[in-house]
Amino acid sequence: MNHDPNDTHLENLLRGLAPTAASPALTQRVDEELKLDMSWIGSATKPRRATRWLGSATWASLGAAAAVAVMSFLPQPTPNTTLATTPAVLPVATIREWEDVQNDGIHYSAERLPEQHMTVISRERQTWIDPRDGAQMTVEYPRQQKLVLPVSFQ
Amino acid sequence: MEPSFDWKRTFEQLAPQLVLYARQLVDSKSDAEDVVQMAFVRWWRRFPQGDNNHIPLLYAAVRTIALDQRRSDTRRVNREAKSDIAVAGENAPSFDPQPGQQEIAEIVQHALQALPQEQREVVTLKLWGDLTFNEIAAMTGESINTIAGRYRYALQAMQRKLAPLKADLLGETSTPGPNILPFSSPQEALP
Repeated sequence: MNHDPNDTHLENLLRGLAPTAASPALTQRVDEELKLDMSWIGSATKPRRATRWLGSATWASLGAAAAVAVMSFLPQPTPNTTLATTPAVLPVATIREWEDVQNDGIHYSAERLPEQHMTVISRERQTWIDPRDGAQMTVEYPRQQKLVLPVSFQ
Repeated sequence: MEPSFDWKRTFEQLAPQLVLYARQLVDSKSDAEDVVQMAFVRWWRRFPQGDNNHIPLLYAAVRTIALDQRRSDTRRVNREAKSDIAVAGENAPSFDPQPGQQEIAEIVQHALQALPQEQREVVTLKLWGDLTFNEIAAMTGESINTIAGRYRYALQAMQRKLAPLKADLLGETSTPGPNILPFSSPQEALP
């Protein structure tokens, strides 16, 4: 596309300049990262397929809550203990977003002490990366927590 | 699953050009090296054979990560936190000149920095990354004519920057003749 001899001369002049070599520190960092990959792959006894489950159900509904409860009790073909000892994926992020906080009022315990009851509704998103192929897995699920906070009256 | 190819050899061949390209997109050399690290590791995971056919994808990864990094507030904060390093790296030379190329290397570096980023990007990818216009167009999402035009404008601008300084390089101070420069005045025609 470029046949101008002047441009060709300039191009040759510019191409004749070699970019600065990468710093040894950069090479070292890449080396460490790739070695880490290999250590994970070497320790993994069984490839684990990515399970991508993006919940779109409304967490506030009873149906979603029931689904989460049911899924938490489903038998796992590969126990989590195997994954913990021989990880094939690397957790890279866990994000929990609070979506609502409900004040459930003050209740009295069996010892007749006042307690502030709160309900925290949040959505937790966990991301893993499979170093063998760079695949990224994200699991997102709703959480609902009941908090009991001590109260002191003035 | 051991890698059958030596990543270091591939990295040593590609890293200088990758860092040079990344430096056109981010503020400092340290940021550019961060970008290259992420891009290369990601690329090597995907193509552990280091196939030359996939090198344009490596440059594309550098571009994506660099642009993400620029947008990221977190990175900005980090850059500010390590501003001493960044400033020190900012003036680091982009080229490793052979004996006799020192002055021209400095001039080219300054001329390159003076270009608009779009032109700098194209000229770096074409001359030092050895990518084709087609590959650059696919990577940047621009038409091939746009890429060729940017390249052409960049060469013209660099020629203008280099022309008056070239006489000094050659030790000529008075009325340089038409053959004093290795290249003549820029042509205005675009492809």
